Amino acid sequence: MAVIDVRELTAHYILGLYGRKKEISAVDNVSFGINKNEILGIAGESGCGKTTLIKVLFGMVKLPLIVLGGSVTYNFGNSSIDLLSSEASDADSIGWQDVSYIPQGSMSVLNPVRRIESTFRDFIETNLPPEEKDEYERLVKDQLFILGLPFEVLKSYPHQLSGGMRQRVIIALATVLKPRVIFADEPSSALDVVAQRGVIQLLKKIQREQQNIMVLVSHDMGIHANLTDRVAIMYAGNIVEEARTKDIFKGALHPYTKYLIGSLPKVGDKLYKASVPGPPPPLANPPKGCRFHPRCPHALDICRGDPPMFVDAGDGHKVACSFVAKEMGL
Amino acid sequence: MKSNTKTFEVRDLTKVYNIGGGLSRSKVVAVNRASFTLGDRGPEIFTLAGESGSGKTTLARIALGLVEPTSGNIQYDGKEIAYIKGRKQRMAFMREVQPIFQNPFETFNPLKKVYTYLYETGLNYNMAAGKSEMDQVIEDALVAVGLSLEEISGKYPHEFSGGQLQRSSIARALITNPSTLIADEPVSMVDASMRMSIVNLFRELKEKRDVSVMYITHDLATAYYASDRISIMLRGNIVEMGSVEEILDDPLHPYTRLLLESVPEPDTDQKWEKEIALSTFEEVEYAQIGCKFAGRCPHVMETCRKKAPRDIYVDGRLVNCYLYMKK
Repeated sequence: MAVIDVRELTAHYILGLYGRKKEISAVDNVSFGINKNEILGIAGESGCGKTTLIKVLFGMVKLPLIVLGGSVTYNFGNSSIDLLSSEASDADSIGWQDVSYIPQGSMSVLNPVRRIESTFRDFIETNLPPEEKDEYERLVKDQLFILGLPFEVLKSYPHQLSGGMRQRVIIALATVLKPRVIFADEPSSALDVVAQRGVIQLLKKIQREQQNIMVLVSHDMGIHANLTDRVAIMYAGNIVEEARTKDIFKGALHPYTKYLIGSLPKVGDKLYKASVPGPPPPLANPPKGCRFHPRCPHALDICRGDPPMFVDAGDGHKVACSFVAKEMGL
Repeated sequence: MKSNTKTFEVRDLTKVYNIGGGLSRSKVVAVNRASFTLGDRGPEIFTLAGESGSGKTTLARIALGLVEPTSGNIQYDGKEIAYIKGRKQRMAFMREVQPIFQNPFETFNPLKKVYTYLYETGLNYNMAAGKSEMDQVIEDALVAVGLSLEEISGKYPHEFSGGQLQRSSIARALITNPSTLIADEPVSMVDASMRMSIVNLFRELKEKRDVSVMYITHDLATAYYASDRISIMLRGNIVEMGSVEEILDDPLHPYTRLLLESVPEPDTDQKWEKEIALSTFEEVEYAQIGCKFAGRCPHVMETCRKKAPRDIYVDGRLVNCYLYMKK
């Protein structure tokens, strides 16, 4: 059974603008499961709902974001917690020991006038029961040692560290309590390639060490190829393809995924590469039927009618595309 | 169309920043004796690559005349431009060399329509006499980037996608019909799927409008795809420079190799297994005597920590490393 089970999740931002209602369908009818000890990647262009999806999975649903339907269930051991149920006690029982979140642009969240050490102490003291507080120093030292970060950083102020180093400190902080699930939202996209590699190798190490579930959001397919076990491709609030990372890179089915992978530049290759034609659709008023059809070179008449079914094309490779379904006879 | 090719020459450019005050004053050499020439063999795309904090942006800002260098010269079309004072001369220079910035959402004022920006740029540089003539100039610039006046008129920046907005920002730079664009990380805030549209645009501008581009980036994959020549910067120093194929197909400097190995390959068979040494404190590397890469270099020798290596030429390319001194 999947540890995190997402069923038909729909979450919209509902805004009242000068008496006019505006509804942005950021996550629309999304279903998937995340298994034990797995790194799941969520890919897609900016504004396709990746961050909103992660926020709902993490239980951070605040107005104007409203969950309109579906469920998110955490299956930890014997207990099963429905995150979105109305009983607040259920969701509150999930703490930072269980689930951790590394938000986007998090390298600028450190308090500039406090040493890294104090930030670590604050975090641990508020999240551990009082009798374990003495463990603080041992916990931090262990964490830094395992992750290969120098101890000097504890005595530093954030401005003394480079961007990549700050990001690695944040990741160390977010995982010091060995959470069972880690959500990482674009953990490396503001960094240069070398610092990015540092962050990726750190995340790999943590996952190997702590054997937890990791959900990684990134628009960079190179990161997904390097780190994830399975990838879900998001387009305009829908998941359009989901498969093992290897299968996505070797045999993508959805036309959008093909564009995403085909347009990646490579060192040693100067052949002309085209990017996806046209702009992404406005989520306030998405196209009817398949949301990709205005940009799709294979669009059929049925694509303009009903949204395509999310079908299994064999071996757990799922795709939502009427054209592919017709070609493959699904 | 006029022949746009003009050379942009940088000689021994140095910029020193003083950090702190009173007793704890220290110096950071953000750019150390940088020399290169852009566009001397016709229009070209010249990449300046390196990690963040390697002095790329400082060099770009000096080249744009926004920051005055500590020493050294920049000549554009034979004229010294690093120390321009008069407004008239500055306008004449800015007409020829235009910037493109990193984050298109910060380039535009969110309360102004994008069209207003294009119109005002045209007005500032006296590109046309009347409104209809100006609209023609704007339309031309927009068509060059794959947009049209119809698509952008009446719209505010938030109504565009990142890729569209960055292209509008390139259109703005094209209004004065410049010969050189200086683009500081133009794709790092743009989605991976839209990146290629920007990089393709640079290639097109070079071929069709004879525009040279100084392309500043840390992403060697797009650099290889787009550019003709490349120079690799490390903590203020240019450590390797030459044609992009030569350098990226067979990198000599260990730092170039590190940068190249850090490009995530979109191929599940080429995952990173080996761990790399990472820099911790930027200031330490800047203050390092000798080669700035000594702290992280897998081939470090005694001499590297004592004295900075000289520039040497190996098969027509510049390398700044002791490993090749004897050859």
